[in-house]
Amino acid sequence: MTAGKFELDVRTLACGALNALAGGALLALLLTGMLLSFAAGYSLPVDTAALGQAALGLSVLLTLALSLPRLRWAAFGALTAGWAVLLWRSWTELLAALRVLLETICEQIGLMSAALTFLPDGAADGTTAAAALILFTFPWAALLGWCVLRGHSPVLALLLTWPLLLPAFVLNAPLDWTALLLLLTGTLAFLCAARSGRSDPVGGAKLTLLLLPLVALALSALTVLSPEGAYQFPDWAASAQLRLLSWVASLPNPWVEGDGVGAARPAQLSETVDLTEAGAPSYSGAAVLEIESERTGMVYLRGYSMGEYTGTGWTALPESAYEEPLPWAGPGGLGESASWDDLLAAYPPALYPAAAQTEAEGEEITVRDLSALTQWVYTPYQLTGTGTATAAGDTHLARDGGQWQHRFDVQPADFAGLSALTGETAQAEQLYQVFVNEHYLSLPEGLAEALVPWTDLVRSAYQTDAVSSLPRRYQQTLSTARAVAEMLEDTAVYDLDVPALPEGEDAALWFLEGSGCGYCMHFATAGTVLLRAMGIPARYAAGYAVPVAAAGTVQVPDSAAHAWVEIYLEGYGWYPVEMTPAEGLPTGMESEEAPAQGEENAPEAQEETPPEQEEPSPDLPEEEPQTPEEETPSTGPGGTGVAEGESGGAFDLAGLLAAVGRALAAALLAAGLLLGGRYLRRALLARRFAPLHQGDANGCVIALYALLEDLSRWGGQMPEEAVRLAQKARFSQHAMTPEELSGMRALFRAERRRTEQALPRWKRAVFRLFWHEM
Amino acid sequence: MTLLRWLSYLAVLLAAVIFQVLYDGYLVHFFFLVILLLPLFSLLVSLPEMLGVRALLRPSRPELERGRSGSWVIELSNRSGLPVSHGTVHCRVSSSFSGWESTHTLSFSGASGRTALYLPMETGHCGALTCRLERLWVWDMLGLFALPRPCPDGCAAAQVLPVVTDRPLPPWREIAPDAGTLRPTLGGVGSDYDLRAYRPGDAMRAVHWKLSSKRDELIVREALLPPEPTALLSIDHFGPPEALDRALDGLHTAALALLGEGTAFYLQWLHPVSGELRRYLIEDRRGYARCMTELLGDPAPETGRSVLELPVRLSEVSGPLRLLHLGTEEGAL
Repeated sequence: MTAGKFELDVRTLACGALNALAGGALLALLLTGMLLSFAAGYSLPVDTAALGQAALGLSVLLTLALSLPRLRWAAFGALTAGWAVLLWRSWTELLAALRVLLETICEQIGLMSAALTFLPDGAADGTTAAAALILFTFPWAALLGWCVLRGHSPVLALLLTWPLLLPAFVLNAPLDWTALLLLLTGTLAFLCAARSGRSDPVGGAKLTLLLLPLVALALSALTVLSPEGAYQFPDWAASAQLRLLSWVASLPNPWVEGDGVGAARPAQLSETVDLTEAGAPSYSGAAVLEIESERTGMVYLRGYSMGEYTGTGWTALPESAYEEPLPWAGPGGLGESASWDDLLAAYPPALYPAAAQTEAEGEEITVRDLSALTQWVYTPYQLTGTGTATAAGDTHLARDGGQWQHRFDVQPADFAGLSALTGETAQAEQLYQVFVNEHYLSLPEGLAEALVPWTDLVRSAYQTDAVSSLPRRYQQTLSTARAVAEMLEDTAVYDLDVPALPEGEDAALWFLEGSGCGYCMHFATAGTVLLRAMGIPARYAAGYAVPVAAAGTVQVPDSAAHAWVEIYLEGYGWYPVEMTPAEGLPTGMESEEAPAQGEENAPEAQEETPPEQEEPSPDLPEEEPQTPEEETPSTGPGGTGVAEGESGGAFDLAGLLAAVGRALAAALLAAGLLLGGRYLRRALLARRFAPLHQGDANGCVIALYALLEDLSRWGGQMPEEAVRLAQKARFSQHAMTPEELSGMRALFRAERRRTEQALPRWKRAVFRLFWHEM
Repeated sequence: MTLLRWLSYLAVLLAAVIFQVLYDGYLVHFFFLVILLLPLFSLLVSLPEMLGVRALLRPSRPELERGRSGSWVIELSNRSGLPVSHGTVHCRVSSSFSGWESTHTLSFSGASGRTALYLPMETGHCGALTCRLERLWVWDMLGLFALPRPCPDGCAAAQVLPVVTDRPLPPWREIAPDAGTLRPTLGGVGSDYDLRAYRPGDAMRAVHWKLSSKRDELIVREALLPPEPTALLSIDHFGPPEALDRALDGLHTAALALLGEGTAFYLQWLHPVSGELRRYLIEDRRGYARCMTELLGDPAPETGRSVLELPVRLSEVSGPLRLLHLGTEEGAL
């Protein structure tokens, strides 16, 4: 052996070792990270230390076998034989352990494991389970090893690893963070270095070895800069989530009975009410909310209050109204330059009533949003706090981030223990009275005069003595409100099928004098404008009215959507008043026992919604509704609002997304296998035919000669002319002419064709896959 | 390709955004951050490799016969010792003789040490070829960002020379009787000769001893021989490429034959643009090579003025002038 040849061999050996080292490091990261993540994600009962060591050992063996310059297949064959022997020696125990593993996986992803009864039953310790996992995933590990060490295909490696963890991600399973980082490090390093490594193996190996610590460092830095402990659902994501889900919910539902088209629902998903449309609202009967209430009776959950009457509907007060400065300095350091927004944010009017009731014992109401999908939280009255929701002006409580469940402590609405507001709250409330009187008494021009006959009717025929059980200061106001409700009940008919509002007509007047029929929206509208005309600040409120028969959990269907009136009581706050006749109120709903701690109710809730009714009405009681006979609608008891929010996944949309995720994973896997196969073939063909596209004619001729030699394994023969041309190209100073090169190509093509035709049909198909350029 | 990669990346990013919006969890958030920052990481890590790439252009052979295979060799090197994921080289090859131009784009990957790209040379027709590296772009690891690299050594030239044919040289040395006056030649053999006084340096053989003995001075004898003809090769520097190739092949064959005989000759053609008559005396192969460079360097349009339209005047030649015009028709000489 000459010195030069020896030097060449040493260099070749060094390059091979470098490639093996880089590939082996990648394979170790991918294999170990994947197996440990898989075990953690599906809560497999394996000894993680043993599994990690076994994975590392398998990585080393696969690296050695697949990196050998020669006798690679022999080494791989020996490895496979060793695997088979290990399997055979403990076959029964391993099968039993496999059954345990598969049953655990099925249980995690919600699949039936009855089909696994063909496997022997038995217990398996952590080490045996780890051994079973390693041994039964050996073919997959070998394929992964080939992808990394021979195929240099990061896409295929990615498809072999991450999709297997997708179900665990979708199901929010706890994952091994360290293992995930290992897998991610290997994946990213492979992805970045593979492209250059295909054409420059040594360079690619160097790059891989450089990238591995850099990627690990970068991921560690990211973990430190954005730690899990400080994680909060980003505001932009929460806002986008709300908008996205609201859009999804606003899409037309073709399975809803009834006209539905254009009909306005009482509880709008938007901040406006349109009273011009004809027809009845349509409901699917699906549960939109779920409440846990300690108090029985009718629970009013306010969503949004609207203060501006347009004549054809309701809308929120303009933003400019809230941006105006305070008439005088407010409490808590709010100067005259502060706006109404500032005052209402610091002292939400929703909390005034509870603040005025100091001796009442509070109760809890938990409201869980299943699919109402609005930006506001549905809250009972007499809140003692806003909890995790945020007061938005005086119209509603806004949802904060991804909070879909809120617990409220509320006080009873029967004025129990009523006392005066004190301190800063009292100052704020006094200031707020100015705002209320300015905005919640206004009516469109001419309407007040048009309502005079009706207000006179109320005063003359329906106004009675004040109920002495009510607080004196509010007796007159409340009795007036009750009188308006009685007048409306006598005047108008509750009917869901309303005619359209004629052009130019006022909705309230049309209801009172024209159609004479309507449902809760119309009654609430007429009640509000009448009360305003009579000098009582009032506004339109929309939400859900939930009759709670017994303490526990109650599903709130969309048919429980309702509208009512809120009147302002000075020194107290907004007070809900029912204007709809009793026949139009939601019926009593069955309540369940209080759920166990942490029980996920969203999926079951949908199954228990009441069946759809024949007529598109929110509630169709043949008998009298089970509403309590109270002067005012009862809401949940009050208390301190220590609402507790749970992050996302508390509504059945997660189940849908999980199903979608499973289907996506299956489709991804199938597409991955197809793409992987195609990619593999392309890579093989490119490698085989790449030397033919070089510019040097002599090199092309030699490459064609090498291909003809490869063809001989399929039964091809070497033409003498090809030998002559190859020798001329290799050993002479002659530069091959284009004619000679063309001749050599023609010889190769002819021999390839002849070889293909001589093969049996099945072999021909395989031959075509790997010998015909794409 | 870059567009495809960007679309793929944006699709992955969009998926990450959607997962971040729909799922509230630290893992999803972490993956979102990783995907968002991955291109920046790729660019930063790739910068040493990208900045270290150099390209050098040279022909495989500076001169080669028409029809022979040759290539432009682009030698790539990387000072960083790390490979580049992807790069492209844009070359422009032109021939000043026939006026054609072509652009080529070659892709490469790796090139951590030294590697070479080969661009086949267009040797179908004679001409002076120039290849220039116009742009060298290298991409980062993910193939999203490209960086242009300078190519200071990115220009090379090669000549595609005509081939020698087996066409024999016509008997151009036959001189007509009235070809011109006899020329005295010292040492020559002829029936007529001239006498003159001896000059230092004259061969002793040429001394006319008999006459010199009669005079007191040495007299030398110079035979009066007919003058040697001078070959003037002319070629029309225009025409279709195939015709030009035939003419150049004839020219090349004749020139090499004449030089092989040790005969100097003149070569002339008309510059197709300026109309200037280019005429060169060629006494050896080096001179011929220089002349051929000039010839191939001048553009050759499809049509032009034939050099035969000009009267042939060669004042520096005393003997007869034999014009050998290399025509573009087959066999025309």
